[in-house]
Amino acid sequence: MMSSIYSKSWRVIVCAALITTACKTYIPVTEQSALVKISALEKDSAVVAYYRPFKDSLDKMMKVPLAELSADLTKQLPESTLGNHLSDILRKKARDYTQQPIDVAILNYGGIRVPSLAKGTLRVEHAYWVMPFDNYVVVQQLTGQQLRDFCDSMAMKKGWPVAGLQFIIAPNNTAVHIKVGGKPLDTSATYNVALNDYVANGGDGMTFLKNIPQRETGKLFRDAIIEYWQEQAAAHQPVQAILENRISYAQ
Amino acid sequence: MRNRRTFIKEMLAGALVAHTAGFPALVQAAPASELLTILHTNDVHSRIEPFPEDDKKYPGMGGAAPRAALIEKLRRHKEQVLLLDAGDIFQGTPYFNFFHGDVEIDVMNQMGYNAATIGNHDFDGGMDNLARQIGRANFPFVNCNYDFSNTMLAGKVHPYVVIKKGRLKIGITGCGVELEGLVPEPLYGKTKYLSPVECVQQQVDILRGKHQCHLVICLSHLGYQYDSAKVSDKVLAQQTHGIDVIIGGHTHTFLEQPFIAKNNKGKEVLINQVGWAGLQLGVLDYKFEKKSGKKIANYQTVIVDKKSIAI
Repeated sequence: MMSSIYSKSWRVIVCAALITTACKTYIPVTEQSALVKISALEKDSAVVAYYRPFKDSLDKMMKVPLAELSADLTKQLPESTLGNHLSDILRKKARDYTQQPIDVAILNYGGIRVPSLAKGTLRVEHAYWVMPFDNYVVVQQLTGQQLRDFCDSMAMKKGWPVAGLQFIIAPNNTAVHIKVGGKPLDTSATYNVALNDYVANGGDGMTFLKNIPQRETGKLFRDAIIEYWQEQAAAHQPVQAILENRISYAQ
Repeated sequence: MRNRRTFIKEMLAGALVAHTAGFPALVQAAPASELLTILHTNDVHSRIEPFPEDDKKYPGMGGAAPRAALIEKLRRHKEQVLLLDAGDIFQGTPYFNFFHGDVEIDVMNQMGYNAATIGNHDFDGGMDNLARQIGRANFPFVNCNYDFSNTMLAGKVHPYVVIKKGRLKIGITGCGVELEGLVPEPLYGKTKYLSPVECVQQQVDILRGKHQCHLVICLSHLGYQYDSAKVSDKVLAQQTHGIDVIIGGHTHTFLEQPFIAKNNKGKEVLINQVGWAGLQLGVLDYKFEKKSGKKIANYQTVIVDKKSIAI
């Protein structure tokens, strides 16, 4: 029954000197803090009974298996397997939806809402946990200079998940050696960049994107993830991602 | 289970209700000490169910039902308990996508939360949804730096609340993070973000002055700390005075133990935050003594003991 272990530290405030007056009031004299880890060993059955009908209706949709993940994917800075996987999906699905070449896909790091996906069966619920927001896939056409500025902003944020793009974060937190599709960035060229509409609308500090026209796809990024996983399973292809120095720090 | 009626009693007349029942009138002197336990969560993000057993990082952890059981157990062991949340109640699991916060608020009502503040993701269902959910909550939402006057939240969010526990008056205010660039504008509408430092100081002055609170808590969704000059819990603590405790959120920070900051008058402010997803519950135990004196002119802090115990 006694299930939770927690560490506890006492702090005692010792009153070294008091200015006494006639007025008495309550003063905090000791405080103690504890951290309690919550595990499923004990449950409040009334709470379970309450949410059970909601859970049952969700499970019908959420427990549907989609694909097998061949190795754990984790979210990290400046580059990660989970970030690469999701930005690859964004690039591929944006290409499918718009039927035009997509040079680069960029995701906001904070938009990935789980620290990892474990090897094993991917279900619909995993897509919801990774991407709970109703963000749409959009494409913006950026000049090379705008894309360079974007890379600098990402460098300031210690790197975002990217596909089709590569750069090094210099010690002064700017992006250097920027490559698009393996070729050095051309500031006079234009590039098709896939984003979610949250970032394209200037979210997460990327306000400079706000006034750039968007090609809308009408597709939720979460649905793009679900479709991709289904397609990989149907084609008997593995769902996987590797690290390939898309964004790295200068040595 | 709490209903709105017990919440109102607790807000307005908790001291009388609690003590007239327990003590023979008039003969009993005021107790020399009072105990208060603050239980707190932040960034629960719609985690109604525990993480699945096959989760890589948090297998079987968290969940509303285990949290409710733990809170019930602590309520049995502690004399006076406050249960608080520092925002981002919503968004993160299909419960929010499909039921828009109903389940989250209902389980918080079941657990008997005393107050919560508003996180940036609590706007994710739009202003009408947030207004509806605040209306469904049996506990007040506190925030003093969002100006809601031209929105449908006008009058629904409290700049502060005073909760009586025994003979103690606990003042609680709240503040939230800059919304522009973080939350899509259509979701927060005409909400105006104001300086947390100035707004919180104003409310704290009211709680200290007019209400003579024995403890002042700020529920903050600013974030623990930043590399930049962006206002955070540490900045709030350093640039104000009169706050005893900042219960934080937003940055999903797991603190091993609370951070003790110094306010702009050199006094200590305790800052705590318990990560995210309802994986942990913060527990702060306070003992208050009736002291002859309004001021502690000098004090020092001693770490007396540190150990692990089973509850």
